[in-house]
Order: sequence, then structure tokens, then C-alpha cells
Amino acid sequence: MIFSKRIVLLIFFSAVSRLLYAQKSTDDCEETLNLAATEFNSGRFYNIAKILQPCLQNGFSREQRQRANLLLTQVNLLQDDPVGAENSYLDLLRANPEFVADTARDPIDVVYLSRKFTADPVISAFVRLGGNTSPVRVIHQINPSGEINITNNYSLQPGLLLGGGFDINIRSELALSVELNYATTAYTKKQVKFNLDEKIFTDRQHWLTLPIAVKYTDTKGIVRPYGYAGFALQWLISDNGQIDWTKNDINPIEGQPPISNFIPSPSIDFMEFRNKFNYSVFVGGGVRYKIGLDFLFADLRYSFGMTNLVIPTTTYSSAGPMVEYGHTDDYFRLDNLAISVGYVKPFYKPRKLKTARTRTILKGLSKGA
Amino acid sequence: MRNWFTNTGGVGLLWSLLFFFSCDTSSSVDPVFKDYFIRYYGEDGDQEAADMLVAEDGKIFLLGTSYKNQSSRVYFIRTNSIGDEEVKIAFESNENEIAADIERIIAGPDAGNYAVLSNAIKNDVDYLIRIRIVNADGEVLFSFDFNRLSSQYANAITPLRDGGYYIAGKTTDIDQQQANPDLTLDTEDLLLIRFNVQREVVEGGTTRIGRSNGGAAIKVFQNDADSDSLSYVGYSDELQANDNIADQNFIFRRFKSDPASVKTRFSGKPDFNERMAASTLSPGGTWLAAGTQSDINNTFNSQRVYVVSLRSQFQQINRDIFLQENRPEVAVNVTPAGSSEFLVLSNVINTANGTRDIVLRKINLNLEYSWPDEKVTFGTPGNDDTGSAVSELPNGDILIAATMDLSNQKKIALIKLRSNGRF
Repeated sequence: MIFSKRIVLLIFFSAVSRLLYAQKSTDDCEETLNLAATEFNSGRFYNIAKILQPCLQNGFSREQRQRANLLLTQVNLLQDDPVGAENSYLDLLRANPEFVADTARDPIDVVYLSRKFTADPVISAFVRLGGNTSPVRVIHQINPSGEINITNNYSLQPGLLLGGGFDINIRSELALSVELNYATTAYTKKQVKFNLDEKIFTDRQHWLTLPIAVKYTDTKGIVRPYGYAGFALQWLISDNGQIDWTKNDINPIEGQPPISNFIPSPSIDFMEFRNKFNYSVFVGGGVRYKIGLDFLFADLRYSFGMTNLVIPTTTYSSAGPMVEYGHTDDYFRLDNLAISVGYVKPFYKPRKLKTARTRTILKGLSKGA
Repeated sequence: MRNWFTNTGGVGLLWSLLFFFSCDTSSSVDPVFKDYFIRYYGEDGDQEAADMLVAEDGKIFLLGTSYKNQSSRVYFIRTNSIGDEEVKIAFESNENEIAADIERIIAGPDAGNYAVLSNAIKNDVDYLIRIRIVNADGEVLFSFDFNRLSSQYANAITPLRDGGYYIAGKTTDIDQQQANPDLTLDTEDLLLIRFNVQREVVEGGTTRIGRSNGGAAIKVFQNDADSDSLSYVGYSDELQANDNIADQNFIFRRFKSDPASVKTRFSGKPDFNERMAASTLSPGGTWLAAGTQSDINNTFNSQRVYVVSLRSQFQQINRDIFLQENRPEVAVNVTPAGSSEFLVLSNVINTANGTRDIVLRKINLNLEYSWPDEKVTFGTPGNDDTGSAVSELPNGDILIAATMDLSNQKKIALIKLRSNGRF
């Protein structure tokens, strides 16, 4: 027991001392950085790399590392060392991938140099969690009752959504988004027939979907709106329905309520009546909220089901729900409205561009003037 | 740009995407459900099918019995050719009734209308026979009863070319004078009743036939070739020559005025009961009759469908029984299919719970199956589903009138199939 306490104390003191050391180290490196800046302002460029080297190896915070590498970039440019300048700028981007040189703040040669580089993420990964609901769009109404003017009243039911994917960035604001989602969907269909009898069919599906979209995202600010459009391949994993009949017969005693008899069915597997592979097109949008270099996002998406979920030749058979419960599915497409929240992790990749993007610099200069 | 697009197969890709994203719409998805279907009909309570008639204009008439509030009424439904309900009426009555038959009237003042036959319960055990003349909208134009006996029960009505009607059925009045000396009681006799064009019973036209313990006339036919010639079919357990055991057999008789005193053709297996359910005359002049065969003690599990094909003068062509995985099966109805085939409707019984499923077979005159799978079956093990009538449409499609058990309520069903028995 005593031994255990000692171990805990040892770990505690070790952690505290490590934090204190780190703080001390950062403070020391701030002095180093100030010294390097003083040297730079005094025109003494040759020692700056040496001054910064220890802290660059171990000691700078991310922000200090950015400043140090910006300083080194300027030094290398002034010393006519383009390779060194590029390396320093790459290190700068590694320290802060979102650093963008500004004509109003940074020397023009750094701005020009910066246009040869980017740290835009090639891939951003994200996960999402949310809910959905599925409006039914009827292609053909199929009425198993001979009665005409029977209406099918579809109503929405909640579902779940869980998934993740990757944004493959084509440009900083334009990405090809590929996801793999798992979703549950549901809807109910109510019919009144045979005078007052009520039949309620509740259909529940499980899906795996592969949405592919083109996404446009605002790349500035803490809150960044985005929008997208695409198509999704949908694999129906399971489909189970329940058919509940409430038989209501007029009470022969005048003024009395109908005589009711509720008869639920067990859960019925509807997969043999469904197309397993479907697809949809969708549009959506949302906002990203910046947290450090990552993002939280909230997303709203509407998918238009394109395919008839029902295998047309299975509407009638010699057994099954039609014969047992008098149930037929309309031919229908299933839309989906999904709302989700998630987390985006961009994988920044500082790199030199094949073609420098220098066209916008003059615009920036004229704005600054 | 154009070269790049072409070289990279962009055109093909674009076409592929356009094809891929084509949307299923009402114009692109074929509404096959309209041609072949099951449609249900009913109201409060339970409704059971009895018979079906397809008019020349394609309208379908379904006749059944509606049970609700501890009463039963004749239930008349008219649909269009795709089963959309157009008329639905429960005929008013002071008695509880059970629907039996609907036929189109071919001559006389009622021609073009329909004769609806039912059995009204006049006390707990006895019936009277009721005939309603109704138009296509189900309006009752005329109604008359036959109630001369203590008990009479009708199976079928045949509108005649002279505007009259023949009714085939049975009576359960005890008739000791006619009793078969070898039987303990003459409990059931075949009954034929003839009405003239004024809908009055033809004197001498009420005929109680036979000395059977169990028997009934099933239907009277008016032969096309000779308008004076009539036939009737039924079953009876009257002893035949060289027969020591009074087992029920199919009987076939041709007559002109007196249905009793004519030669009888029999069909049946010795020492087995065969109770006819239905018989039909094909356009080619051949007959097919179907009934339920059981052992002499009418053991429940011994029930089988017994069919016999006959030439126009009732000479037997072939006879057979349909076996269904050792499950009891009861014959219901037959109808011609084309010029030389027949459809046989029956109900097979699930021995575990007593519920029934509907069975349809197509056979030829040699009683060989027309379909590779021999039969089609409708129903689920937990539900009691029964067929009542079958009919073939001019294009070969098949209609079945049935009673389906939907979540513990019975509803009349119209099933439309392809000529191969499939949806």
C-alpha cells in the first residue's frame, strides 16, 4: 500500500516538474526569439540560425516555431539562399498550416515565396452522428382493398445516422467528399378500410450508404459555411415491418363507440420484397466551427431517392404479408432528411506547388495601398 | 477540351451517369399490379365468398355472405376488370341468409339481369330457398322463395332458355316411404325445382329424387345442342346394382321433363364416399366433375379431391384423386379452361390447426396436370383461407373468388392470375 502511494507521488511530481520545465523552456525560447529578432533588425543575419537552432530542435511552442521560421525565411531570402528560404517556409507551414503571408504584414518577398507553397490538407477525415427522417414518395399506389378512394397516409418516423468519410481536396475550397454511413430509417403507412378498420404498417430499414459529393467550403473565419451536392449508393441491409390491424365495427347499440379489436403482427422480414441496391441524389450544407486546426460541424442533408424500393413482381404472391395481412407496398422511393453533427480532422500537407499562385498579390497590394 | 473529353471516355461516362441516375417514375415503372392481383372486399364483421360471375363487358360479380352483429346477409359486389369496387350491397332480409349462386339470366322478362340464389334460415336447422332477380347495380327487381318443404337447401340456379329457372339442391325432410331398405333413415334427397317464366313453381316440377341417406343435386345444365335436353349432376349413396355398401357416388343424368325416371351414370370408387362439389361442361361438350372422396366412415384425414372426366353422354374418360402431402383436401369448384382443359379449385386442410389453404390445378381430360408444378397454393399456415369459385377469362387469365382470413377477420378476395397460375 505504502509502495503504491509512493509510486503515485512519484508520477505526480514527475508530471508537475515536466510542466514547469516546459514553461521554463518556452520562456527561455521567447528570450531567444526576441534576441534573434533584435539581431535581424540590426542587420546581423549570420548568427540568427545558430541562435534559434536549440529552440527549434526542442523548446519552441507552435506559435514561436512559426515566428522563428518566418524570421529564418526572411533571413534566407536576404542572404540570397532560396533553398534555405523554401525549407524555412515549409517548416513555418508545418508549425502553422493555416499561415498565409499577407502583403500588409509581411515583406513582399515572403509573400511571393508563400505563393509557391500550400499547406492545404489533401484529405480531411470526418465522423458524423445524427438523426433522420424519411418521406415516402409514391410512384404507384397499390390498393389491396377493392374499395376505391382508400388513401394511404404516410407519416414520418425518426431514424439514426452514423458515419464518416474523407474530403479529398481538389482546391482549398473545393473537395470531393466520400462517405460511408450507417442509417436506420422508418415510416408508417395508415389506411382505413372495410368501413372503419385501421391498418398501420410500420416499416424499418437499416442501410449502408456510400455518398459521393462535390463540396464547396468557405476557407476563412472561425465559422465556415459549406454546401454540397452528390449521389449515394445505398445498400439495404434489412427491412422489417409490422402490420397492426384495429378492427372497428359499428356498435349495434346506438350511441356506443365502435367495437374495437387490436391485432398486431409480429415483425415481418420484407427483404424479399425490396430492391437491395438503390441510389439517391442529395444536396446539403452546414457550417464548420474551427477548433484549433480541426472543426466541429453541423450538417443538414436532403436525399432524393431515385429507385423504386419495391421489387414490382413481388407485390402479389401466394403467401406472405399480402395473403396473411392484406398488405401491399406501394411502389415508392424513399427520400431522407438528415441532420448531423460531427468532427473534421484535416490532414495538412505543407508542400511546394508546381505553379506559384502569384496573380492575387498585386490585388492585395493595391487593396493595402 | 473536346479532345480531352473524347479521349478520356467522357462521353461514355456521361451517358453512363445519365443512365445510372434515371429516376423510377410512374411512367418508367410498369404497373404490373393492375393486371394480376389480390383485392379484398368487405365491411364490418366477416364476409365470405360464395360465387363469382364474369360478365361479357368484363365486370366481375362477387357473391358472398356478410356476417355481422350476429346476423348474416347476402353480399353483392360488382367490380371492374381490375377489381375496383363499383357496387357493394348487403341485401335486406328478415332472415339470416347464406349466399349460394349467381347466374346471368339469358331469356324471359328478366334477361340481362342476374339471378341470386341464397338459403334463408327459417329456424335453427331448416332453410328456405330465396331467389332474387337483381340488375347489374345490385338493385333487387324481384324476389321469390321456395318453401314448400320443411327443409330445402339450394346449391345452384340455372336460368333456362324459356325464361324459367331450375334449382338444384337437397332436402333433409325425412321420407320414410322412400327410404332405402338398407339404410336406417332417408335423411337427404336430391331436390330439383323448376320455375316457369312467371317465376312460379312448375307443377310437378318439384322433384325429390332418390332414397339416399346422403345426397344432393349440385347443378342443372341445359345442353346447348338440344334446348329440350337437360342434365343434372349430384351425388347420392343409393345402392347400385351389385353393390352391398351404400357409399356415396357422383351421379349424372340427362332428362327432358322428368328428372327422376332416367338412366343414371355413376362414378366413384367402391366402398368410398364421393361427394360432388361442382361439375362443368366444356365448350367441347366434355364434362368434368370434382368432389371430395373419403373413406366409408368419412374419416377426416381421408378426404381427397376426386375428379372424373366424361364425354358428352357421361361416358367416363378418366378418374383420379389428387393427393396433397397426406393432408386432407376438399373439392370446391371446377370450370373449363379453353376447349379441352379444366381448372379445379379445392381447399387443403392443415391438420395441425384445422385452417385451410386454397389450391388451384389445371388438368386436361386425361386428368394430367397442365402446369409443371402441378398446382398453386394460396394461404398461410395460421390463417383459414378458402376458395369458392374459379373462372377463366377469354384471354386465358384466371379469376378466383376466395375468402381470406386477415388478422382474424374474413374478407372476400378476388385473385387474378395468369394462365400459368402465376401473378
